[in-house]
Parts: sequence; C-alpha cells; structure tokens
Amino acid sequence: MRKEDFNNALNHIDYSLVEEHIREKELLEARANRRRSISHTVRIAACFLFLALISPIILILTESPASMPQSTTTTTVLVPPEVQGPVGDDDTSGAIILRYDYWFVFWFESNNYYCLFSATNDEEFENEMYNVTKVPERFIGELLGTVEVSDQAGNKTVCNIYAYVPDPTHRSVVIELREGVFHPAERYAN
Amino acid sequence: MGIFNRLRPPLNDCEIIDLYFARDERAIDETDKKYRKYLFRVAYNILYVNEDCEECLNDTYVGAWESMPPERPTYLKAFLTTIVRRVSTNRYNERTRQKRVPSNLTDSLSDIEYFMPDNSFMKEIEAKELSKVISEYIKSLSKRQRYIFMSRYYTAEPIDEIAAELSVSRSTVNKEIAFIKEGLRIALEMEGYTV
Repeated sequence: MRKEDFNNALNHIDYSLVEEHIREKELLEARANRRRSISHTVRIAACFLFLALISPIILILTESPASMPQSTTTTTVLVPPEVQGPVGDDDTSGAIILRYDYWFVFWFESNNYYCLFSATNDEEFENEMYNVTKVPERFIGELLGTVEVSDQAGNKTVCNIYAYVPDPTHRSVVIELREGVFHPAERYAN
Repeated sequence: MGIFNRLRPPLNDCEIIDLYFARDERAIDETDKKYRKYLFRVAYNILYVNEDCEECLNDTYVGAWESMPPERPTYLKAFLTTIVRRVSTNRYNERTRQKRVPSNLTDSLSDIEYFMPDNSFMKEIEAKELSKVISEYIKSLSKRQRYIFMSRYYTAEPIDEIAAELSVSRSTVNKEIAFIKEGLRIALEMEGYTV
C-alpha cells in the first residue's frame, strides 16, 4: 500500500507546484521548437550556400574545353629544300624540327607570325596547348598556307602556317588539322 | 460543420472556461480539441493501456464539467492535469491491487517504495498531511530538481524524455533523482514518518 499512499499524497500537493511545472514544461517545449526551427532554417541556408559554392565548380567541370580541332584533314606539302630554319632544340628560339609525322595545331591569331606548336601525340598536345610561342621573324620559313578556324564563340580566324625545315632532307610536311580548313599556299597548291 | 470545427483554431482558456460557466457542452469539445493529446499522454504514462486512457479522459472531462463552476482556474491546463492525474492514479491503484502493472508510474514509485512509511492504510486526511511534507520538500529543491521530481513522480515521464526536455544526459537526470530520493527520505524521517 505504500506506493499508493505516496501516489495519493501527490494528488494533494500544493497546486502552485503543478502550475509552475506545467508552465515550465511549456516554456521548454517552446524553446525546443524554436531550436528545431532555427536548426531547420540553418540547414536550408547551408544547402543553398553549398549549391551556390559548388555550382561554379560544376559549371567549370562541365564546360567544354577551349575549342579544339576535332575533325581531321590531312594535307601533304612538299617543302622546297631551300626553306631552312636555324637548328636548335630550344622551342623558344623557334627551331622546331619538322617531320612529316608532326601535327600542326593551329592557334587563333590571324595575320601574326605566331608559330603554333607541334606535338607528336595527344599528351604533348594537351600539355602544350596553352603555350603559344611567338616566333621571331628571322625564323619564319616558308609559308605553307593558311587555315581558317573558328573559336568557341564562333568567330572565324585565318592563321598563317609556316614551315621550319632545318634539315633539308626532310622535304615533306604532313599537316594534320584537327579543325578548320587548310588552304595551301599558291606554291604548294595542286 | 464538424470539419469546420476542427479547422478552426482552438479557443483560449478564458473562452473555454466561459463555456463551462455557461453550461455549454461545447466546453467539453473545445477542451478535447485543445488538450486531448497532452492529457492522453499524462494518462498513458500512468496506465499504458489505450482503452483505460480513453476512459480516464472522459472521466477527466466529467470532472472538469462538475468542477467549473464554482472553480475558475487561472491556468486550465494545470487544472486539467490535476484531474487527469487523480483519475488515472485511481484507475492505476485499482489495477495494482490485483496485479503488477507495467507503467512509468510503477517504475518511478519503485524508486521510493523502500522508505515509504510502513503503514497498512492511510486515510484521506493522512494523505493530505503527507502531501504537505512532500510539497515543502519539493519547494526546497532547485528549479531543475523540482522539474525532475514533478516530471518523474507527478506526470510519470520516462527518464529519457526528461533528459531530452532539459537538454541533459540521462545519467545527469539519474543523479538528480538519486539526490532527490535521499533528500525526500530524510525529510520524511524528520517529520516523524518512520522508514
């Protein structure tokens, strides 16, 4: 019967204690609801912030790389033996040994004596893509032709393609274009 | 019309009490609409059986109807809590006379059973005397301890729920309860209740 007695006694405790307890309970519940509400708001804000931060990254990753030649046309140009260039192995001097298996990749500078770079494989091409070497005029060899290419914005550009043939035994140059149309110079047009 | 009643926001306490005083039966509907969930939870903590809880709710509304008037409580929720607790514990006592009842109240009372006065039966007046001692003891506790005592022994809430409400750990609540129990034992002994 002892538990029952305690229970009965609690039914008769000071009413002010009950009131105080219920009020305190409501206060704690309201605080908990506010915390949950703030927490929910913060979570939503954090999601938006995350999206705002990550969306530029996604845009960059999904952005197509700078316009690269896709289609391939091949033109063989016979370079006359008198077209020579300095011998050297320093790219910045413009001495580039041409071999017929080299690719020429064309940059989008029109009417400038910019030598584009060459690469023997895709990896080199990727690595060198943004290294544009300006060739001093004295190193410019025979004009092989022009190529018209388009950049990403659709602007068309005509580039001059020059040959550097330090070794006169190498007489043919295979120009392989990934994009654009090659117009051989009059000398080499057949 | 019933649907619109449910959609309408609940009346405030004063308006509900006015309905009781006007002997308008809508008072019961409005009380049920506003406090049903809370009162059911209090009853369930004590009884653990849905059917019994439903009956206790009905008895609570009857008790409120019979009390108002003349009573005009300042805080309706607390007033209803005292009624539902009394009704639920009476039902609980009936059941425990026959067998042990699984409920939060059983757990909480087993904490203090060992030092409760070893009398065979206490009359209503003795219960009131004991309640005064308990009330004075509760008032001597800190705010948090008071909250824990009332939650644990008055509304029979589980310890995890109390811990969550106070944003403390379960072990903190257990420690406080241990302190409260010891203090209550001493308070009862000091008032002449033999342990």
